[in-house]
Amino acid sequence: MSEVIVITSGKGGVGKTTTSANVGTGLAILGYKVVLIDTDIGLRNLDVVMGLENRIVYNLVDVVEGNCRIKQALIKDKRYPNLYLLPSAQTRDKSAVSPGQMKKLVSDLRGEFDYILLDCPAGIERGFKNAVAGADRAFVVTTPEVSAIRDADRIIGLLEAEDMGEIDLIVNRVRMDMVRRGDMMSVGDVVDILSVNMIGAIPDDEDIVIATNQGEPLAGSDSLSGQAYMNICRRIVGESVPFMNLEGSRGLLRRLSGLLKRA
Amino acid sequence: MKLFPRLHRRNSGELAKKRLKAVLSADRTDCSPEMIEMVKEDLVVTVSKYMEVDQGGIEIQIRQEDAANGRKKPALYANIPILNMGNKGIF
Repeated sequence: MSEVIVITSGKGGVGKTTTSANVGTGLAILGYKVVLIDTDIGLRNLDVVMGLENRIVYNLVDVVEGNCRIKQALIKDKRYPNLYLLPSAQTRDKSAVSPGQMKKLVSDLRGEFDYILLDCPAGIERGFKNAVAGADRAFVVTTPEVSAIRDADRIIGLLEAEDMGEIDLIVNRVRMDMVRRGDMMSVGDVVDILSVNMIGAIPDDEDIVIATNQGEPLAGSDSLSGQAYMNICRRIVGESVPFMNLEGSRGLLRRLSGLLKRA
Repeated sequence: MKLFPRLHRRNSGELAKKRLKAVLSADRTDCSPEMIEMVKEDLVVTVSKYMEVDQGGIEIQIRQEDAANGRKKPALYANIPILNMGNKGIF
């Protein structure tokens, strides 16, 4: 049985593409056959995050318009042979594909793959509707910021209206130091405000920037964010994994300096 | 000059939470923060006739409640801390 997951957020720049790349990579590491679909037509990005930008011949629009077969457009990952990317078209726009065509594409891929991940564009227009059309479940990515959470709330409302089977939250870019000193909402606060199930939280991590520079997602690496992504993947496949402590424990020194500051 | 500039922006996380709750309650119900503020002021005027309330601690929210037909319906929640129960001798 294959599962189709859309990764969405409403707001741009919160880490949808990075999350797609890392969750896809993590599921491949766990041994599943995975395809990542970049549905952001006109603003192609997943290919560079995966480091596969030089291997593109055909794209999503070519497949939908029948210029090639699906298999011709799928790019095999550099490191994991059971991971594939269907890149987006860079020189077309969102209207080149319809929700009906996306549904058909996804259902054609179901027989071949265990997991089909759809990287959704920002916004709530055509691109969002395309990406959501064929999905069984949705991951809503947000950061602990007012604007991102507000958009996430709107997206959750729209997904509920579309009768999305399952909606899970990913809280991205958590700065433990800022949460500790009360200058950032905690993961618990965000979950509480959005009242939706959380599948994982990712710490803000320099290694993510480095990984993106190199075009190699860091899921499976020793870095904190790499572990957090792997935890999400384990939860997707049904394992019960305890949440990483991103609130940060208060050390003696920190507590003392906190007291001094307050005094 | 501020001697401890950090002190003045402490706990901005709490502030974010508070602002977010207000804006989401407006988004979810299509009801503007101004209107909520007016409801709040009218409530204070009304309740103050009978008891002394803590105006700074009042919280007004429109929440989505589960209705009998499985859908959601909005409900007004008001949390008004009382400073002094006794009436002010109006009655």
